[in-house]
Amino acid sequence: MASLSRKNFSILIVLVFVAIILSRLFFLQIIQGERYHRISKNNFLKEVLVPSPRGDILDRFGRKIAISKPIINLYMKVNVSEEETRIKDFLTNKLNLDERTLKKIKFEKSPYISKRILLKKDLDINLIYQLEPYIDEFESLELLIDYLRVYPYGEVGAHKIGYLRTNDKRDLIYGSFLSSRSGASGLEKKYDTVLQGRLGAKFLLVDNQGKEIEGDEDSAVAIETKSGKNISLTVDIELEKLIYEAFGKLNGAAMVHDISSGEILALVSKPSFDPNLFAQPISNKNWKQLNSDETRPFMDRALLASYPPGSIIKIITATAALEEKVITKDTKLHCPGSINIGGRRFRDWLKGGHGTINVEQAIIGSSDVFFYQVGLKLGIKRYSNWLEKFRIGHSTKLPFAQNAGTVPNQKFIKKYLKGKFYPGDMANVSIGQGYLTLNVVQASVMTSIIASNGYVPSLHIVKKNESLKNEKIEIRESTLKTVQKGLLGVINDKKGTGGYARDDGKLAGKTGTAQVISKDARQYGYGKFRNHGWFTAYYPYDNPKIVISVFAEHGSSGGAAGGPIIKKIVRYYKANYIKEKKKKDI
Amino acid sequence: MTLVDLWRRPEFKIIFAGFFIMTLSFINLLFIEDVPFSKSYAFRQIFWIFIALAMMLVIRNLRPKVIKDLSIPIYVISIILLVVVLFFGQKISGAKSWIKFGNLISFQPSEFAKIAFIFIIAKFYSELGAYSKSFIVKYILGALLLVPPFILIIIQPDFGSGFMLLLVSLSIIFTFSYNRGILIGIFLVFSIVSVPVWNNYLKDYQKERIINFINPEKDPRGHGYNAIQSKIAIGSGKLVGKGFGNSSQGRFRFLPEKHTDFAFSVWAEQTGLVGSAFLIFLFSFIVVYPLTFLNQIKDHFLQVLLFGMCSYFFFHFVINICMTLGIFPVVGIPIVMFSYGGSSLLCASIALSVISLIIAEYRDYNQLGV
Repeated sequence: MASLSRKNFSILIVLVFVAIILSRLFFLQIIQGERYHRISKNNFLKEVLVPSPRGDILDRFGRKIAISKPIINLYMKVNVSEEETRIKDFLTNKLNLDERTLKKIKFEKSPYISKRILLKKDLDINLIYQLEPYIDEFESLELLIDYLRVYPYGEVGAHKIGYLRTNDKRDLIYGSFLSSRSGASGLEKKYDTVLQGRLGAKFLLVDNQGKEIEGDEDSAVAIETKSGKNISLTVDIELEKLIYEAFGKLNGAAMVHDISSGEILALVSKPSFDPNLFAQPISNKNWKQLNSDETRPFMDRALLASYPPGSIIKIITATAALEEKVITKDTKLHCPGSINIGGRRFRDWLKGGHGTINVEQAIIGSSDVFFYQVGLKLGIKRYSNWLEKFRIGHSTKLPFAQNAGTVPNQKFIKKYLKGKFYPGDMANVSIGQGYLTLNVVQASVMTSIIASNGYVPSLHIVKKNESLKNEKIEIRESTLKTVQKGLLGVINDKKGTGGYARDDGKLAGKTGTAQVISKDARQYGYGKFRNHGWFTAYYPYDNPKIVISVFAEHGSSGGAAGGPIIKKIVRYYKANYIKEKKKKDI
Repeated sequence: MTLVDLWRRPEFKIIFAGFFIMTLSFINLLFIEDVPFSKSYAFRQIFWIFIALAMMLVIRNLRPKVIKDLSIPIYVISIILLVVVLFFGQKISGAKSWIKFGNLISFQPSEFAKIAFIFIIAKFYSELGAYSKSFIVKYILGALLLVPPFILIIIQPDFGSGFMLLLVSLSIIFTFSYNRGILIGIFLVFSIVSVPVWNNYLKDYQKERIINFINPEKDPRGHGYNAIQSKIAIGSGKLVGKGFGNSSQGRFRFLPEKHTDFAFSVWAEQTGLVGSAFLIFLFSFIVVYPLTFLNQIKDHFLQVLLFGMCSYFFFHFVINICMTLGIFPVVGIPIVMFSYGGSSLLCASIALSVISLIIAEYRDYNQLGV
């Protein structure tokens, strides 16, 4: 290089490039010229679209919650000029297309050169055999593989999985492909960029008969097809199915999570909708039906609604009172059937009252009068502080839209109650009525904190490789022991309110019954005016593994409605998880 | 003085060749679309060609010394224009790179920045470079001058122009540095290191981001389609072409860029190997002829300036044509003077007249027998 001067070196480089360009021109225009001339005259370049499947959504054991099923559709290219009548005749003879589809058959010079019209979806294999010989006669017709989204478990867990909708941007360019649909809600939306594949396009050189010339250098890939990626959830879909069915005629929500890992094993809301309806453009009839349903199937009762917690909040009332030293574990209070607060009579759910009891007994029997008194001593400032420590009023990090509920803290009182908070309000809040609302996820977090001796679970639903750190709340051991013993008694003590869930004596939990409107409505006792039932529990007592929370909408009482569901969940867990571990140990 | 006399003077040969290319571009554009002449690209191109000729006349009357004094103001103005376009620019096909005056006239500062950078780097090498032969001064300071225009162009984002700027400046640095070995070394180390980093340490989405950064998808159908259509158009021209107005590929199936990025494809289809080889001859003449004077030029500034201008023409035409021929991947770079575009015509006319001025200063009359 050094021997070449700047001048000569530069000129040499230029000449080399010019030589390359000229020889390439010679190759294209002289050697291949005739061929390209032919191609340019007849447009023997055929564009083939290659739809790509959306990624699967799998449960913790690899069971399929959402999959892409290949189907074969018949499409028509818009930018081809062929006789419309000939095509229409052929299609009506072979396919019985309806009027609406027939009207769509129209050739046009569209700026979207690749655009296709979908003529018939999911052709039967026999029909394909019949059609295939004829299809080559028409330049505009083609059979393409597309992918239909299928949710084998249908309604179960549909709120969090979500559903699909039309991808207008892609459809404008390519026409309607089911595999192009994008997530409209839930995980399908949140993870759309991961799940969504890319529709590819190839260009093939074809001969006079429309057959591909194989291995031609100009048959090129213009846009590479890319399949969507799978995502694996922590959920056990069979458990969700069991819970969904266990609700029977009731509506509501339930969550099961692993205490130490924070993995959600089940998150169910009922009633639900079938996401399969949205795998293709939903029919007007179905859409109207879903929207006019009085039970509001789109409403996610696990995350997007919040309800008064009823007596399950006594877990926090008791903890706060013990921690703030308002009472000790041995403090005994007299609990008749009612108590006078600010001139109003506040009743206990148990007509005759509970007698003189300590905090553990108050939890077991779910005494209202005991916690009215404790709550009044505690005061709203210290109480709301503890509610927030237990994450009530805060959204979790789960990838869903959430209703965080309300905590009557100083801010809330100032903003909505003009700064006035009466002793009667305090009494109500301390038994989970009034201005306090939460959802089933928050109830589970609360129970999880007690069960794990103070750790806030890092809830997640998409499998993670690294283990997450759990934040710790400082609660004294004696407090935790007292509350935990109370929770064990709720289910296993004779006086406990959770007897419906009693089984092997290792379940601990708390029931709750939340009034829907006012006390006066209670007398109606049915339908819309029935109380909501709550049940939150952990298992097993000596070495807590899972937390289960059940919310039964208008379920009357938490124990009666939630108890049997929880019992089924625990039995399933014992059969499928604990045994498994034992096998591994051996 | 007759035209023949003018042609015999070397400094005018370049001007003639440039004007020739501009005329061919006008003819080419004339047959690309079916719209009234007053609304066509051809009409706007001829308007710009006249402005370009006027510009050449003005610059041809300057003294080389004046050009040297103008280098710094030109550079500063180019940076100011690049900043202005960021705030007041018009967005066309995704990039905010146009300043618009009325309906007819719009100006692209990034085109001007490429020319302006050649001036400043020439001045830098001739003055600072003469005092210091140190490695740091040569590379680091030279690169520092490149940073402001480069970044301003990349954030528009006009990757084609940014890439061009980089190529032109690298070719200058490479040719006029004293340590070519070190430069080659850096280049080699970079390429050796980048391959395993690309393969092992980057995640898929990061790679995709980088690829999108270098080659943003303007066309939803993908570049593969353009590339194939371009090859078919060129190939189908055969030896003498289909004749003007008969470009089936260009007229009907081609894409938005047929008047800019793929202007050569349409030309090759209409005029065949004969026409395209002639165009390539004109372009290589503009690059090679001035280079033959390189060793005669004693003024360091003018030497670097001449080389830079040649390199400006060279990269535009080689990369664009190689792209249309399917040798290089599709990157949005037009050919100067031949593609439609007022700003690039003006900049090319500056480059042509500067080359012409320098040749006039150092031509060897003895060779001509005058």
